[in-house]
Amino acid sequence: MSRTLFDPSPAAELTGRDLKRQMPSDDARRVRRRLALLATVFAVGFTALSARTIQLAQPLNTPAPDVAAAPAAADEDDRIWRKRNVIMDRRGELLAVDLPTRALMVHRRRVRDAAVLAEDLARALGEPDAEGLRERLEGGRSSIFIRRRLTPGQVAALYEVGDPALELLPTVTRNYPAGALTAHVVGFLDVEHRGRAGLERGLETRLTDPSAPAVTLSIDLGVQHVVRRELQASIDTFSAIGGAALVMDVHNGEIISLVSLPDFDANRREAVREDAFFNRVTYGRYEMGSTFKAFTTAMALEVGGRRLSDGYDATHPIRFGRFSIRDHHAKARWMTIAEIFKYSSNIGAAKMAVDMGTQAQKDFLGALGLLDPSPVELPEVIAPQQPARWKELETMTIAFGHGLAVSPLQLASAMSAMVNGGRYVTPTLLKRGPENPVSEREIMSEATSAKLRKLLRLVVSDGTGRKAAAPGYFVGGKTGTAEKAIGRGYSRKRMITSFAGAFPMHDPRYVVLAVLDEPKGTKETFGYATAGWTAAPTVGRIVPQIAPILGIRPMPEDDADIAQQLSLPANAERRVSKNATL
Amino acid sequence: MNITLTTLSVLAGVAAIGAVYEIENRHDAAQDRLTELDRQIEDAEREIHVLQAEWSYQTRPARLEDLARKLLPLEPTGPDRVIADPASLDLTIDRLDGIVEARAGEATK
Repeated sequence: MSRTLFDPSPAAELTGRDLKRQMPSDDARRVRRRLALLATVFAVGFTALSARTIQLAQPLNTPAPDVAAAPAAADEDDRIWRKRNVIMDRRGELLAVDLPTRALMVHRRRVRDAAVLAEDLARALGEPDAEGLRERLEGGRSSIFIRRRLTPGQVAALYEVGDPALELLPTVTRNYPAGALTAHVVGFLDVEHRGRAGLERGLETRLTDPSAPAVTLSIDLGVQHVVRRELQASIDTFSAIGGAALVMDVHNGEIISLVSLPDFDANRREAVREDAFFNRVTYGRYEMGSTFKAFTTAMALEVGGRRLSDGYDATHPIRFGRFSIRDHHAKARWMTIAEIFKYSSNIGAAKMAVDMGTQAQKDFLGALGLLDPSPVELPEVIAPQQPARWKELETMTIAFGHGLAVSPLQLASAMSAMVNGGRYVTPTLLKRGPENPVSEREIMSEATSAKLRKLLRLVVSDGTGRKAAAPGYFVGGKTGTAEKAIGRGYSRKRMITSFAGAFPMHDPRYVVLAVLDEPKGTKETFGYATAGWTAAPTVGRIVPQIAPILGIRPMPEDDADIAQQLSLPANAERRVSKNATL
Repeated sequence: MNITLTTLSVLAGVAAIGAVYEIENRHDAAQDRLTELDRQIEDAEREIHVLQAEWSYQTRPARLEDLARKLLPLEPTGPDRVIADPASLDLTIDRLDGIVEARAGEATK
């Protein structure tokens, strides 16, 4: 037996040096090697223990990887209720939100008595048709989805039933708390929980990105409610088949309200008529009629350098081949540009446009965005319908709004440029902020815009748009009554009436547009269904209700400064008595 | 001396093991509590989420309008009720004060 460190002999008193001396050098080297190995093992072991201790002493907000993984897996189930981001209006009211719910599935093999179960289910679900449920339970596949979303009350009732064939699966449903109010803006989802229409579709990537912030729209729910209520009232009064209305900030292009009627409740789409899905504001295109005269006049003032007191002869109707252009409120005389606008003379507008030329008209309308689809976030945006042939005749008809069909949104954007100092601002449905900056381009001078403001005010204070007046808010605008194109010709009975206005006219902040589809005259309007009787009063009712929401203070009607700002030069009208221009 | 050292290091080792075991135990307990709290937070968040949706539903403008019509003896403010220039209000108040003082003066006479 070789001697070792723990030899019971006097080795206890041995020191390392003694050992070295006494032991053969081979043994000593082996012992040293073992000692070194042992020391290393202990060192590693204690280092590991210390490291673990230090690790455990760390604060818990940086959990070890295995700890973090567990809740992440649970997320899949638990956070199913927020698959998609919420959509809010500009004040933070929820417009679209994911809610947790349960889906009801029945496993057919576990059904003992289909008739009894059908009875129970009908009672629990509050459905009268037990017979129909029984048929579904008896037919076809091994597991059947009876309902894809249940109310909490129904879930409780189903637990009461407690049949082993039932399974309640956690799932998610998209809810629209505002109901029909923002139907065309927000849109809806398909059965796979993907966007199918409206912003739900247009912003799909942003809504499904968990790291993206909530979507805040430019829509104000209060304004939206007023606009929808008043538009609906007008549709009811005049038995129109539909309508569109829009409120837009003239300075940054935010769409404060967008209403298309008829609409639908996205929470229960099953019972909706097909035409209710049609968004008239962005996907409808209409020949807008006389509202276009605002653009023709602006072109004459800006591009042609005309003055308000310059004029054209509107004595005789214009004949062009088999067409003739005549005036509805014929004055049959030479008229100034201001008068042509005020009396809405087709002849005057046509001559004005021909005077400027076809190319100038194309360029000007193009700059106003009337020849391209509106660059808005919705997927339902239609391109304008341009005439196949755009020569002198088309130039004349487009001057008073026939021959070029545009969407109400395009019209409102162009009208903003008329009154905001001459800038075309890109419309948006998202709230403006650092991530959604204003984009604009210069169309015309501030001076021309100021003239247009005066003319638009004149129409409401003393022209066809008098019913759009809202005391204190200085509404201005232009009426448009266009006959609908039916086949190759125009219908006398079916009309699109519109009023494109802005307020307050001395410092325009918002454009308000109302369009009615096929309104019919009533006893109160003496049978008239023109824009002055139908669309203008709609705007007249909307403005005083939305102005307080938008923070616009009414001004006294006789305010001298405003009167000064909105008065036309004395020679703009022929027989004008002083101060009668407001 | 060597035995003392050995005993001490063994004791130290045992103590270290015991301490680590205790810390691990506490860590596990804390972890359980964390999971539980996470779950509670999750539940609370879901409830808040649902209640926010409910709030938005209950405060939809159409319903508020109906309720206000039914329950409040108030009308929307017309433009004629809004003063264009807030500074003029001070003037009115001054004048009212004057009238009140004059009346008070008359009454004492």
